[in-house]
Amino acid sequence: MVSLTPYKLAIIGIGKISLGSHIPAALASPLVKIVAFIDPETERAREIANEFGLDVEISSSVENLKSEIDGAVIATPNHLHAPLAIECLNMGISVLIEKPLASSVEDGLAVIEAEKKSGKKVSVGYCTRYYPNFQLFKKLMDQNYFGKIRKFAYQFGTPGGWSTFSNYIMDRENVGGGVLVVTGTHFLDRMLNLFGYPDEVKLQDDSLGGPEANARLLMSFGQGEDKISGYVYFSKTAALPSGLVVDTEKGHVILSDNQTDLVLHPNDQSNLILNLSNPDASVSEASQFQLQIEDFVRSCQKDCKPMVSAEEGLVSLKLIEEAYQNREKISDDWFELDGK
Amino acid sequence: MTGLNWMGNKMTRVAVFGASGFAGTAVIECLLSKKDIEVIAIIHSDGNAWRLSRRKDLTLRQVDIMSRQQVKEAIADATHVVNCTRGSDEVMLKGLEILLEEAKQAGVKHFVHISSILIYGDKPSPESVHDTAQPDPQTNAYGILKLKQDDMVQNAAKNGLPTTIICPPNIIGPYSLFLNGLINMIKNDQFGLLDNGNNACATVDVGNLAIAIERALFNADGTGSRYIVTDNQDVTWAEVTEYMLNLTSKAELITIEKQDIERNIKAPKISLNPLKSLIHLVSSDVREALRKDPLLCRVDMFFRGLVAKLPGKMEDRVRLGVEGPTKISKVSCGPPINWQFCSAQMRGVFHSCDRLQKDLGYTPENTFEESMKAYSKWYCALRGYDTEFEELLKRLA
Repeated sequence: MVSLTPYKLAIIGIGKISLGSHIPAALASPLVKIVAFIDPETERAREIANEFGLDVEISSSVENLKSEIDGAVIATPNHLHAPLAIECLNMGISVLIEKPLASSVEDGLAVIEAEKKSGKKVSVGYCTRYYPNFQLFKKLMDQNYFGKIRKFAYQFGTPGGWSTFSNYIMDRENVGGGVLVVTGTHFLDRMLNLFGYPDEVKLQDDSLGGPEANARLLMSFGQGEDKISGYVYFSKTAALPSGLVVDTEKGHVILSDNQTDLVLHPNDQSNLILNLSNPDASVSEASQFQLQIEDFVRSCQKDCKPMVSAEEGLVSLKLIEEAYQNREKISDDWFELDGK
Repeated sequence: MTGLNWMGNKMTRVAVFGASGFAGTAVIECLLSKKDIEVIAIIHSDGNAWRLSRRKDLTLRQVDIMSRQQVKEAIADATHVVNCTRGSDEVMLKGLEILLEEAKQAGVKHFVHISSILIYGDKPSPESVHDTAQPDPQTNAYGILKLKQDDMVQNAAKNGLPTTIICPPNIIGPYSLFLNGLINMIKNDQFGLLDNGNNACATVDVGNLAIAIERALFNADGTGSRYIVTDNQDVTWAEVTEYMLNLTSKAELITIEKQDIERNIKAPKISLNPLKSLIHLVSSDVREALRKDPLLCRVDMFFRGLVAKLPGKMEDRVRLGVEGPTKISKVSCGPPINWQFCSAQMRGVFHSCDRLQKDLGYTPENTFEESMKAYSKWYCALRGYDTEFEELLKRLA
């Protein structure tokens, strides 16, 4: 049975992602009541609470928190995800961790261990799983609507991106990598959800010791005739037309990054484009962040698996670590390449 | 850190403001390749600094150029300053004022500022081939702003801060924003070629620009001067667009005429007409906006009720008088040409970097052709056109 009493939520880490996404999503949800902000920068946290008209407890640490809470959203720099999650779980608090689960597989395993011991829930903030076009594509793929899948290509690129209050994204250690973690991990999660864990992964990136700004992944899934080849590119230095294109037996399927468009260019009718939609899907105006928080709350209240579990978050981390271990430097001396 | 080298002299420390931009990054990379120079990369926010933060050999410093205290601290140890910042008018004027004052206060040995060829306007005079010509930005807003900045920098030179201004045209090379914009316009039918592309398209490779800045930083001969920098080649739009066209699936470029440009970028005439203003005030658009206020909504309903009580034809005449006849806007059937951008083909001046070469020993390292080939390679690699996934990826374009 779902409780009618709002779920008492704390937001840990009052940075840009909380400001722009988690706080508005929690405020929009009838299932949730924000009761506390936790951030070492208490003054800024207080200003942001005032901005939203919130009368919440402001605390510099989880340890000092006085309010009674049911769960917490952890939206801090990546290297703090694991220690804070473990601290919360040990105090009997379920956590929704902004992606990634942790900044290393080792830390991720420690979170899973703490989850098991505590009996509380851990959900990972891969909110793009809620994109309607992704959900429809997955459903159709599982029904074998597109026939055999041969290969896919995905790219996402922006010249720069959002900036943080703490500048932590300029520090490779704090991030646990570069663009592959900051931007790429969302797509990798969706890809793992679609195709499972790849058999081969090859990463090329442009890191010169710091967080890479460009990353290209080549990978394959399965063997022989069932083999699916994949190409993925993430850039923080240039704009790219973003989206996923999948070469299938039935035709080319394109999933736009606008969350909704899913189109099929059939192989047998090259002058036709079919817009696919799900008439049974409920239309929701809620953001994917709200859907994510509500899924987290339901998983806590009904004691069921959240949309993205800690185990799934760990698989993403494993893939990222494996990719970094075998990385090659991308060729980016464009004049040198010309034989100059 | 003492800031002294082993000879006991103050180390060369260059603070680059606007380091994360296209030009700023090239300047940083150029300076990092030199021995005995310490580079201080000053950025406004970490979001756009990815090209720099991937380097472990560089420390980034976040500074708000509008904060005098932050600027003071950032350049306290700097011996040289490069200004590549961009931003709002206020940032570009007030920020520069702070930067110049603090640079003088800190005893900076040389200050180099990036200007723009647009200080010579959209229709540069034939004399502007040479940078000794008097700038005249005409109505170009960016040119006017950059010229104001140039004046501030030259005044600072008169007041004792050694400064040099480097004035680039379209900056090309890998990551070029000008070329990215041009290729997108070609793809989307927004670019039309004028006069078979025979007009001048002034360019400078971003690496050459960085070299010019480095020369200006460490050569006192340029103090108080402004120099145009180019690749020292007379490049035409046909040459530039040929490279770009090869990167698209287009077979050929749209061609346009000079009259088309002149007709389409003619500034609209604004004339005062009290009657038209009154009619606009009582138009349905304005009334609809006002009806959101409950009181004004009631007033509007009252007047609408009065009009509705008028005899049929009279009511129609009142409405026609207020709203005017039904208007249908013209819908263009042609390509959505960006006329403002295309008008740059009418500039018609091959700018020269002779004085920069003579005074400061500037020698461009990359030719126009090398720069364009490097851009093409960067573009293809970025888009996966060098892989077996090219055809799939082109479906996303």
